[in-house]
Order: sequence, then structure tokens, then C-alpha cells
Amino acid sequence: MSQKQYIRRVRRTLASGRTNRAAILRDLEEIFSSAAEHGQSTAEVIDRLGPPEDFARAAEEQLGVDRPRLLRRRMLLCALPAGLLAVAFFLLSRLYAFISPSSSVSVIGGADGPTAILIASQPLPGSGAVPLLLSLLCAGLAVWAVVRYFRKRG
Amino acid sequence: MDGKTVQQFKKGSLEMILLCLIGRGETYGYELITALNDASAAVLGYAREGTVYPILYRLQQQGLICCRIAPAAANGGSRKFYSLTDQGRQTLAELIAFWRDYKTCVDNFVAQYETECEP
Repeated sequence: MSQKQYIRRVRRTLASGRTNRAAILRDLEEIFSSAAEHGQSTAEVIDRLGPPEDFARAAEEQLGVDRPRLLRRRMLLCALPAGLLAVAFFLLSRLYAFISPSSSVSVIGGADGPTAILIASQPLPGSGAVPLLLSLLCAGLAVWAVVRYFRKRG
Repeated sequence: MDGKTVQQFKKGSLEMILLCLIGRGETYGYELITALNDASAAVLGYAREGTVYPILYRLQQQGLICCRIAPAAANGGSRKFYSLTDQGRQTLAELIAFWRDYKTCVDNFVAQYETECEP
């Protein structure tokens, strides 16, 4: 594992706010650079640090971070916009279907006789399928986040 | 010897040892690890950043140590220097007093055992 990969995995595991996160990641950079300055390899440092997930959890535990609560909040923050986007995309797909019937012909001025104009409309490119698909994806994401929220809570 | 028992001893004392090291003068992470390993590796085992840094975070959180970040010319990055706060110095004095009583208390039990039970 490289230094970058280690730090990335720590970053991914951290649940705390920006200040704690920045301090922990800064310290990790210093740990690696100090060791390199004294001729130690990345592998040696990683061995002393332990698994990145354990390091992140231990650091937050000692900082008094309530990890389960923050992770639950993160799930809710993910579920809420995903749910809203799912509804928005669904409405968009319905709107497409409304303004773009597959193919239609209408007549302007038909009642006036020979000067009637025929208007043919083509379906909009991509029609309602794309927003509908996006809506389903967002709904799936929202359901996943809600399930994880309740699992973490339980 | 049971590794878990030794681990518990180390866990309890590392916080005080770190306060002593930082109390000697402003220092930074790598220097702390080196000082720990030079003086106590034979007894306490090698110090690991994965153990020491989380304790430093707690000491800082409790207001016992403070830190300042300064550029490190040697590696082109920055270095975090730790020092004791007034509260940290007071807590360390209390911990040292407790440690002395604790040591005497445990030594008494050991001495009694050695006198009565050992041939």
C-alpha cells in the first residue's frame, strides 16, 4: 500500500467534521515525511500505524467523536437529496411524456378551409426514458441509505 | 507472561509518560516516538504512531497539551510541536503524586508476598 492509498483509506473512514479530519490527515502527512527524512520506508511506517481504518477509528475515539451518530447523519444527508432527486426526475419524465407524445399531427386553421397548416411533432431526443432511469437510480440510492441508517441505528 | 496484562499496564502509563516527555520541552511526533523507543522499548515494547497519536489527540482535547505548526525545513513539509499547558502541568503533578502512592502500594503487596511465600 502506498502513502497516498493509506491516507485515502483513513480519509474515507473518518466520520468527523472538517477540523478534526484536516488535523488527522495533516498529522499523517507529517508521520510519513518525518519517517522518510530518517530513512524509513513507507511500509515500516504503515506497519507502525496499523490498518488505516483502525487508525481513523482510534483517533476519533480519543477525540471524543460519536462515530455512530455521525455516520447515521451522513446516511440521512445522502437519503434526503437522493429522494428529492428521484421525485424531481420522475416528474421530469412525466413532463416529457406530456409535452412529447410519441408522434402527433395537429392542424392549425383547419376550420378555415384550404389554408390549413399541418404540424407534425417529433418525440424529443431521449424522451422520458433517461429521467425515469435517473429517478429509479436515485430512489434506489435513497432506499439503500435509509436501510443503512436504520441498521446503524439498530 | 500474559500479553493482555502487560498491555493494560502500558496503556495506563503511556499517557503519563507522554506528558513527562512533552513537559521536558517542546517536541514533535517523531521525536516523541524516538525518545520512547530509546528509553523504554526493552520494557514497554516499541512505540507505534498508531498508538501514540490517538493519545496525543485526547491529551489535546482535554486541554493538557497544546500545539503549534511550523515549517519543517528538513522535509519541506510542516511539523506539529507539542507543549504542556498550565492545566497539563498541574495534571501531570497530580498524576506523578498518584503514581508514587500507587507504586508504593503495589510494592508493599509484592514485598509481603515475597516475604511470606517465596522460599
